[in-house]
Amino acid sequence: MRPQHLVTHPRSLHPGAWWLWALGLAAAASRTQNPVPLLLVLAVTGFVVAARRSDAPWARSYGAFLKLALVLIVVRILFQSVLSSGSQGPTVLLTLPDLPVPGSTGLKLGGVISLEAVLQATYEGLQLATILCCVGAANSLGSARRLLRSMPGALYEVGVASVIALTFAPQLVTDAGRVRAAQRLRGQSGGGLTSMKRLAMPVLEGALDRSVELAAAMDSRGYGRTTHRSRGSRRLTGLLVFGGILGVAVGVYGLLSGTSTSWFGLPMLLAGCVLAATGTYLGGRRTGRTKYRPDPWALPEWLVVGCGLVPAVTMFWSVRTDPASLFLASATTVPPVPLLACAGIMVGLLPCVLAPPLPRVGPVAPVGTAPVEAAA
Amino acid sequence: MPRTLPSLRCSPSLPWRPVARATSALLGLCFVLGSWAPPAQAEEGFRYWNYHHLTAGAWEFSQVGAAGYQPKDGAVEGYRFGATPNSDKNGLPPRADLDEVSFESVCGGEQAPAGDKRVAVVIDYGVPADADGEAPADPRAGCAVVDTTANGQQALAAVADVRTQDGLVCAIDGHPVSGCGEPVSDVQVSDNEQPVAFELPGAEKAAAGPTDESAADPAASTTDQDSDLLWPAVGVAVLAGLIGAGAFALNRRRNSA
Repeated sequence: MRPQHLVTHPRSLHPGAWWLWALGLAAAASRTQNPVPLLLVLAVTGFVVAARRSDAPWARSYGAFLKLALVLIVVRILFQSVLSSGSQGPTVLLTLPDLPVPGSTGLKLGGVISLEAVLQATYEGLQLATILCCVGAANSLGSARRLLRSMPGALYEVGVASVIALTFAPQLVTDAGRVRAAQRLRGQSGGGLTSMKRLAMPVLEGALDRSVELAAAMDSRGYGRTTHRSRGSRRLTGLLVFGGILGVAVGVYGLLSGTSTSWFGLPMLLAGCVLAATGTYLGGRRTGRTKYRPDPWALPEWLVVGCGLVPAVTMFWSVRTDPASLFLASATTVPPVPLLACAGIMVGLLPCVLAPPLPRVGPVAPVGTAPVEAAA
Repeated sequence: MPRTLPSLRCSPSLPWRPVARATSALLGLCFVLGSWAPPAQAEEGFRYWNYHHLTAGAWEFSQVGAAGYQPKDGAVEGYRFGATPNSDKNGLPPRADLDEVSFESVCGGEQAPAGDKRVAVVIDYGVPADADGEAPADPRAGCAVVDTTANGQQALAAVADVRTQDGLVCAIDGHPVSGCGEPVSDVQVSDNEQPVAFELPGAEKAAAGPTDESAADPAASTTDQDSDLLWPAVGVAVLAGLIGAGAFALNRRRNSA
């Protein structure tokens, strides 16, 4: 057995596997507003991130996503309980002074805040927050830059462009600061539209200069070289890729909206995937390019993806067979426990041992410290 | 410094014209598929809780949602679940015999304290054809004693479990279990529906007998049910809490290491 198939061999998992795992959990969370499975999904993503994240800066982003999720819940509660009369129930918590708003708009300002409205807003906010945290988990476990690197050959150019854009975006802020400092030295001051115009021109010019220089540098190193393809095959590729992407978009919508008819969702998604895969394969042949140290896709990747699929499948199955346990009859009822779906979500916890540990880089002593210690 | 633009040989980028053609073709296909409908007489509509007010001895289809209407003291509000064709401007009224179901017969046994009002709420769960497989519950009526400022939805929630979404009443007493205002492609309309018997609060009390308080009081039975449901929910919540605490501890240990 080759070492990359061992779950104990230290290496970083393919970022695509982390994204698929997180998408599976997010899909499970998107089908219910029952807080019990939602809290479980939240805890599972948090635990796996804590167990398997790297020390890179983006790996801390889960905390930021969690804070954003909490803010989202609070904002939702404020809006729904203070500004809307849509979900108010008879259990009054407190009564704020209110402003009269024309009736039958569904809006209100202040007034009665009921337990039902607060609970309903919490549950709806929790659902969004959970999906957000799934994305945050994927973000902090699988680096977006490495994911771009492992894109298929047909999308290679788009990938390079996004990496460059991500790298250059902070440069704009530095540029703006420099231009503003120069303006201050020349005695121009003040805010407003005119100073904005004066600022935008040099910043844009600088960005354009830099991109032209970079393009020249990349061109001289052979970037953008393509093998010759006929016009017809290029057309076919474009048609396949865009048809596929459109099919995937429609299919995902059909699958997740839960309201449309059955021919719409899964078949459309599968057909779109096949089209897009064929298109990217054909397009990939156009760029005769090899990959430098590609991330392997081995047994641990399959296991992690499977652990993400199980929660989604069990949740979809539960929605079909036992909907009463996933939709609350009213906000104040005690949430029922969908046992099958909860068991499926617990499978999503397994990547904390099934994903290989990261290679250790920390304890290695920096070069140059040892002689000093020896001398001392 | 004079600078010449490097001659950039554009790599053949995405082929735009075929893409545009393909997109328009697909959009056209989607449009055709989207506008395709099963043939003939079947009427399109939605399946939802029709909301009615009793005015001048007849049901009047409400023009606003339950949350946007403030019933007066002594009002009778009707809810009827069923598929309603889009062309129907009068909605589906509850199948109540208005001689038997009236404000007096529903709310006669209740007294409203000062600052409260009494609203009779008539709930008709509809016919089996509109329910997903399960037989709908027997229609019933209840008396809501609520604050004078309460809206229709609050009065309804006082006598039944209400699931709402974006200010719409989606389900009453968990019926339907899921979904909210689902589209229906073939609505079966029957012109003259026969009135059905409604379970009235007074009749229920009389049947249960004056000594059996818990059976007559719906609140007591729901608390029993709730405590049965409470423990699994608490168990899973504790499990989630433990996993979350584990994540927090693990994170602390990694940060300090």
